[in-house]
Amino acid sequence: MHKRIMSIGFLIVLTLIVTGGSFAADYPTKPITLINPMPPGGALDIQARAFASVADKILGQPVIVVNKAGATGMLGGTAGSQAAPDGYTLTVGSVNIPNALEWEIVNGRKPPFTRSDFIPIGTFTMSPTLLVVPADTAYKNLADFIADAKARPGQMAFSSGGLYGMSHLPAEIFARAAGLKFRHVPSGGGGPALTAVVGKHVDFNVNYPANTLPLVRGNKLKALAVIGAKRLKAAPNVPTTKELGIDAEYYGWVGLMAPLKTPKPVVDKLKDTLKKVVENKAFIDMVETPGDEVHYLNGDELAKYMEVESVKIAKLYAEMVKEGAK
Amino acid sequence: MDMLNNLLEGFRIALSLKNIYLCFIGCLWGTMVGVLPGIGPLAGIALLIPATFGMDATGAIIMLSGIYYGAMYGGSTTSILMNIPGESASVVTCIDGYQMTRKGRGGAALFIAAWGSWIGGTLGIIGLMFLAPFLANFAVKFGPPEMFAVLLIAFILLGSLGKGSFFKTVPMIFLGLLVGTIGMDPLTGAMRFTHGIKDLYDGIGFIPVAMGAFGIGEILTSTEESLVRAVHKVKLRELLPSREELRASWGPIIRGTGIGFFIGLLPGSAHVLSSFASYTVEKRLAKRPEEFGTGRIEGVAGPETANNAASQSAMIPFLGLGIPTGPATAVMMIALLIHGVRPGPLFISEQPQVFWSLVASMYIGNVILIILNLPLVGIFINLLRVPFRILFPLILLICLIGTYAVNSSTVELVILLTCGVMGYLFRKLEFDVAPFILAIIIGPTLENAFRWSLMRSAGSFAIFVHSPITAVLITLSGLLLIWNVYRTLRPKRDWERALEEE
Amino acid sequence: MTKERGGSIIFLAAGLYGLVFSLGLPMGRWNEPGPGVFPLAISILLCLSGILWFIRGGKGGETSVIAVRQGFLQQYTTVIRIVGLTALFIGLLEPLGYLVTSILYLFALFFWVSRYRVWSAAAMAVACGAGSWLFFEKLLTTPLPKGLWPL
Repeated sequence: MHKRIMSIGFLIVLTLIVTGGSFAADYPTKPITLINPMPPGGALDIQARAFASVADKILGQPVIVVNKAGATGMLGGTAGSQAAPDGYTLTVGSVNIPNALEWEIVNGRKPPFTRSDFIPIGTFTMSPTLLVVPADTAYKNLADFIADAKARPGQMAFSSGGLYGMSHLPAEIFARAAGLKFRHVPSGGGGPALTAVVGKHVDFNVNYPANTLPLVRGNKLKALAVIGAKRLKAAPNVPTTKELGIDAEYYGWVGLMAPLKTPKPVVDKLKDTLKKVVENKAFIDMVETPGDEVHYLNGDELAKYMEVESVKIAKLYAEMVKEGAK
Repeated sequence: MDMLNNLLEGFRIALSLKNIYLCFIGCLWGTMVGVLPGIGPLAGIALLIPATFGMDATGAIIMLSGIYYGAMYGGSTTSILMNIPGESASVVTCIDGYQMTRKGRGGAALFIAAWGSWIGGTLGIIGLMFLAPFLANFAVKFGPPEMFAVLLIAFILLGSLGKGSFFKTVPMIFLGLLVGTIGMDPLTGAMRFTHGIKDLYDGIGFIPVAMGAFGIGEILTSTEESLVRAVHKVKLRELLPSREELRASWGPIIRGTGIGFFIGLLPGSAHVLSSFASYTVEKRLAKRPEEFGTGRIEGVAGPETANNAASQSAMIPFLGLGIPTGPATAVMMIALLIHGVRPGPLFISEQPQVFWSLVASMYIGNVILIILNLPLVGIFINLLRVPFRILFPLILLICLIGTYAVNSSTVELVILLTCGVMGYLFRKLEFDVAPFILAIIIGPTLENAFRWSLMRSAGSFAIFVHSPITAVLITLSGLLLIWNVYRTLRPKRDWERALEEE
Repeated sequence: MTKERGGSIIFLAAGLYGLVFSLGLPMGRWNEPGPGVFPLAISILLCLSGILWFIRGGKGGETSVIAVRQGFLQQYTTVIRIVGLTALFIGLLEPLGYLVTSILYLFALFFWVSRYRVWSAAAMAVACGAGSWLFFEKLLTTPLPKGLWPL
């Protein structure tokens, strides 16, 4: 009797292992869609497409990036969280997602999805931002800039790609750390935000290295600082805020997320793929040549990172809302 | 002379058999994408990007640009023949283009549209070549306050777009502005008029509205008359424009190139602006402006040229600064980036072979397109000989599927149908639909420019007259408004009264 | 009812709708205009236009073709049929899938509106419906609803 149960049990387990394994072995059998919640052409888009171009060789199926932009990532995030959990529709996760969620919560609105609707697969890049000013301003370094800002509080303005996005929050963090007050003028996307600073319609902008370094090299912008702890490989002459004594750092991570109920073998395969992509030389080149930084966090590390960050961000938002940033 | 050498080098690269082939494939795919309502050039380009991974940068860019231009050309075909705008820049072409088809001059309209597009495109490329760096600097001076002023003028011009009087068109513009606010507000994230319907979060797209109001609206109006339309036997002579039509087109084409090229530099929805700016200019300059809207060739030649010139000059800020100015250039930038080419201020000097072969392929693409499109005119016209009773259900089906293909949304199909009914109603009530649709497209830009400017200036309206550009433009818009109001209110001239009595 | 009046009613209705719902949106301040400002302003302008055109449409405006009178249904029968069938198509598209719905839709239009005979209508419907399905689904790989059948 015992033996029969044991052998049946063993058979069941064996079947599960085999089918579970073959499930993973079978996946993927058709092209995979990667939803990018940000507009085309931005730094996130470039990184996502770089990932796609390497991942599809590893997975053996085309990986197609589809842009579903809107509301600084909310639209795409909603679509991604509601996608079928079969591993064929993934989302380009980024720091924008938890930021968007916390913003809704702080403003008393219920977000259309939450972090727990996703399984984080991991990150492939994490970059700080650069603070840039128009090229022909008189500032020689960050100290000059801060002096000017202190002399006319609330009059200098910065553009951003959107409320609570990657070009907004580091600026806020910097401002608070240095004790400065600025006007925030959001545009609809990183592109217009950059044109605004190149055209001298605003005083400065904070943005990914990939977006700003070409303009710096082309003498349209000057980079005054990296808002982070380590200098950029692509811009070794630009000091960091930490070096200059300002306690401000903020990193934008970009990674991969899958809907909650995606089966474990598929998730494992994706995690494996991600790790391989991050170590792939072509991918590293594609990301680091424009100036962003490759950085790998696996799924669990990412989940923990998001936890910690959400708390910090929620506090920041609470302050911002109190000051009437809305 | 250095530039000439570079250009020749570019041609040498672009004229390689492989690159010509890629250009051709791109143009073909683009034309098909443009002709099929719903699937726009962006989707077409995005679909093919993975296929370009294996190619070298130059070849990939050439193919993708081909798609882009092809779609522009193809979009005018459905506008003229079926009153269905293939993409936003073709909305204006529908107005007179379709009327020409109804008069049997559809072939001529297509021909002139292709011809004007070619001239506008080619001259645009020449302008791009010589003026790119200088113009890029000029373009960045147009920040949101300047754009607001420009758009203000555009909206006032829009009021005179229609057949009706200024005051009759203005409420349609307001209606379009209101509809344009539906969706999520990009500046604050607040939802406007969405009532919890997810599909509305991103706003009401141009495609369901335009295809509905124009395409379905037109079908509904036509079926009212009779289902049996006289099948017009098409002679070759009718495919080609008559001499007067050719002569009449020169002016609009030249002016359209200038207008389009200039407006294309401005950030945002430049094609749309350029096409209707050209239309209103032609209408003003015409001896009998009241005939606009009944099938005047100038109403096709000008806008089509303008929007092609605008597509060329829209590349200038992008090439000069490396910042994409709209979704189309954004997709191009992606294509370039994947292949390791980084557009930026140093793009031209650091990667001359890619840039100049891109320029050369633009010329080649334009030539290929005109070769492709002219014979297609005959084919398309013959398609129209299919009896209307069979044709219209198919057109309806294509509109439905085209709309569904964009976002797989049934809600958008409902919007399509609703706009169809509305288009039909407005036509019967004799209110103009085109300004309504155009207002939906550029309304949000106007609003954002306004709010951005006020946020920048901390509430001071002085920002709108602050720089010389804005001051001039705002004054101009004020003058235009007064002029329009005056023209509508003053006692009618004889010929106008005679027209009304008809 | 004249044409201008007909139009003015649409403007007024839209304006009132906009008014009601934009008042619920935050207006912000002068130096930070909120999402409600623009819709509110436009709605007010729409209401004004509606009222003005209603008044102006009263005297000497052109007589309308949209008069609700006897024979209304006969006059607009084609239009109503087309709109109704299209609405049905929209409703049935996702439950029944594209192939089936498009064939039924085309058949209904060919038979009921274009007045072809049953068999011609059916044959054309199947040919065009299936043809379009092949074209869009297979060639262009557009995602189309599958409905009940695994098609």
